[in-house]
Amino acid sequence: MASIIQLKDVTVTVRPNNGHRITILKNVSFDIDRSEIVAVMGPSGSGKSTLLHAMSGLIPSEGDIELDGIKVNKLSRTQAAAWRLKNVGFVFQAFYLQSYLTVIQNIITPGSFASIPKQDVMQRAMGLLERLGMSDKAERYPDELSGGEMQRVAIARAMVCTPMYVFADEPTGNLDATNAAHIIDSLLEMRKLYGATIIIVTHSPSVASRCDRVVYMKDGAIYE
Amino acid sequence: MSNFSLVFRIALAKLRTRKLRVVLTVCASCLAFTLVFVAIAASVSVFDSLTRASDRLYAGASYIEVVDSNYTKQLKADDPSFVSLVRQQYNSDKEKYKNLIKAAGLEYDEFLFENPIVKQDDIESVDQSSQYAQRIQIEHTKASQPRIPTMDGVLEVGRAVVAKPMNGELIIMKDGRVDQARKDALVSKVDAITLIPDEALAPYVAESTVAPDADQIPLLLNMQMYRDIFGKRSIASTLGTHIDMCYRNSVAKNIFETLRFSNIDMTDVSRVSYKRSGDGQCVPPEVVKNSRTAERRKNDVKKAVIDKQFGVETEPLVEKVTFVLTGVLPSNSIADSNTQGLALGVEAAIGMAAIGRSVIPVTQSEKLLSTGIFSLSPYGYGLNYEPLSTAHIMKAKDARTASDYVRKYHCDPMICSSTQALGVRELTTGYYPIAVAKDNLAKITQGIAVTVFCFSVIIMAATFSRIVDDGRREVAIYRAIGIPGRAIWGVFILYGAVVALMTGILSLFVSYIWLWILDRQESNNLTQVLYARFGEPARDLSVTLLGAPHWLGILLVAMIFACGVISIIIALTIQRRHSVVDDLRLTE
Repeated sequence: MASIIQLKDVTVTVRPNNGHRITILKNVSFDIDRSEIVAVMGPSGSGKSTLLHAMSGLIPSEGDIELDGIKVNKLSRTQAAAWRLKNVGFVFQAFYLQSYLTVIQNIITPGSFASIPKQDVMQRAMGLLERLGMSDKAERYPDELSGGEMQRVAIARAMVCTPMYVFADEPTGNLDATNAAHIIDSLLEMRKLYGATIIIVTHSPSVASRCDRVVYMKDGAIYE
Repeated sequence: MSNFSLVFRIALAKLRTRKLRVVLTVCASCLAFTLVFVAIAASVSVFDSLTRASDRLYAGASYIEVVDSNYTKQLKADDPSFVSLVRQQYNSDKEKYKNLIKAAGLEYDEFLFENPIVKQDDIESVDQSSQYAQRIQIEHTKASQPRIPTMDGVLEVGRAVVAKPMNGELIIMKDGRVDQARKDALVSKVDAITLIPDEALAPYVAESTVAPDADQIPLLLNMQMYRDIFGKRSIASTLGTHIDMCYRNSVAKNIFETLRFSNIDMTDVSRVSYKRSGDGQCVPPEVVKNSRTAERRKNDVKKAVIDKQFGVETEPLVEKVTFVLTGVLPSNSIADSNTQGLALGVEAAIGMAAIGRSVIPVTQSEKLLSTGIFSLSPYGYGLNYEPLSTAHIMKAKDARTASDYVRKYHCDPMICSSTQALGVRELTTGYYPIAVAKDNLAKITQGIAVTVFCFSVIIMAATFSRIVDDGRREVAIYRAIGIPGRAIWGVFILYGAVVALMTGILSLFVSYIWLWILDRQESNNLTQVLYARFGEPARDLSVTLLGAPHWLGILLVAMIFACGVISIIIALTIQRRHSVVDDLRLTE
């Protein structure tokens, strides 16, 4: 199967508070196939989240990051945002839902800005909520939901534009085992439905065990 | 468009769920801008009341010229009753000014007041022409222009009597006899006596068509009154009138040149210039039109007069008078305002000399003195033979404020009595203090308004930038999921705009409540102060703090709105530099 994500010698260097330069990712190279689910594991500070951020164009990086032929780290900020909106779904450990928007509003926001017809966005959002077992909570605000429910809303928001890639940064980190299992179930279902390529950063072996492949990181480098 | 409605819905959702934060933001900014509006609106209202009062006084000043022109006509027709009418008026004025001087706590000079008419017979002279001619010649040679004798012994600040000498000294006669007591009384009241024979003044009166006459010159009293009532402005007033009337000629040029290097208060010059500018003769109308405040107008007019005369930039004229001169200038000929004006001009020239300044050569006296004393003497208006131009009269008649004034006091220029005319004349002197008060008020309020405004803008900018600071997490999330920057800006700007609009409306509302409360408490007091200060013309002028124009309120709201939106934009611009990941981590 052809690789849809190709990383070659990706290096990320930061200079916190204009101090000394710190290299977070060191010549990272690996490929991911279409619709593959990859778990990225490693100790804290190993560069797992940075890898996701670099792949989504949120931070500058050196080397080549090519996603379906698009060199993400060569895009401008505006181009990267437009590309992310249509191609990437983000799921964060802390959910990052907008507290002043209802569940349905949170889900349809990216879809609406992605020029998807309003009816379609709403239909997709409701469909996703239905599949995630949240259809009765569409008009609730995030602070009225449990952690697991919020993460499911976040997954729905990530999937509403039917992205090619889903980047999940420790999606089960704040959840108990039952809810964590549900979240992974949900992600797997999304892959099944939309064929998305999913990369999950996790510390959980049980989550990793349900992925197609596991990539281990340490000190900013990958080792198998 | 659909994006806009989405942005709008998101902004509204933010507003709906953050009521407390919105209320706090609105209240903080509202408090600051309420101060701004109350300060500005109250000042504008009081300023407006003062303007209305001064307009009426100015109208009076214009109006009196119309009245005076009728007297001129009467004079031209040789109305025999006119001189006695003037004299009668003078006598009544004397009492009034006497009371005024006493009320002001100034020294009342009994002798000067009780001997208003210094007749030719009372003062006689002895020819010392050769001495003076010699000295003048010397001075003339030295300075390449005529100079009058140095006045040894005259104080630099004080009064002097100028008179023609008899046997080298001042002699005052009564009923054909020397009245030593009167002379002593006079001497005790002045700082110096200077005796100048006719010959000494010859260079200065050479072009006069008529010689001075004692019957027409109660200058002693006149100048005393000036000194006591107008204080140190006396000479400046006198010169100012001459200059204003005749600045085109070389005499005025010399006077100006003198004044430029002297400590002379030229404010009266500009006042008179302003007043006269309506006839298009002295000052280009656009100068007056383009000068918004009284202070600027005054300066512009002053500058225009000077520039027009000399064609060069001149430094600002100085503020202080250091010498006040009183004097008597007797002569033998028929009364004429020209001669009286000449006398004052010469007095002033002597005053200049006495304080060591360059001397004013008084030439072309006919032009110089055409209407010189006309608007300054409290009784001498009838003595002017020079008619005002028809255009000027028509201008005064048609002036909006003048018409208002005439209508208000039912005083038809054609039938107005001299008493009424005199009453109106007093307004001329009332106008100047109001102009000064307005200028002062404008400066104070401008200072307060600018300070409070800056303070308010800072508070508002700080408060509104918090909206964006507090929203760093939101912005980072939106940016992470790929929402376009314009949409993110739209959400925050709309949110800020709504909050700013609420702030503006609330500020306006609270400001008007404050103004209403202040108005209830202070309006009566201020109205009484205005009436007490400016008298009859201000009788029906109420001072209200609610008189600010409506556009000021709209401007305030617009200003707050703009301020809020700009603050948000600046904060968003700064936040663009932040890293999305950093902002996400900060909130984790």
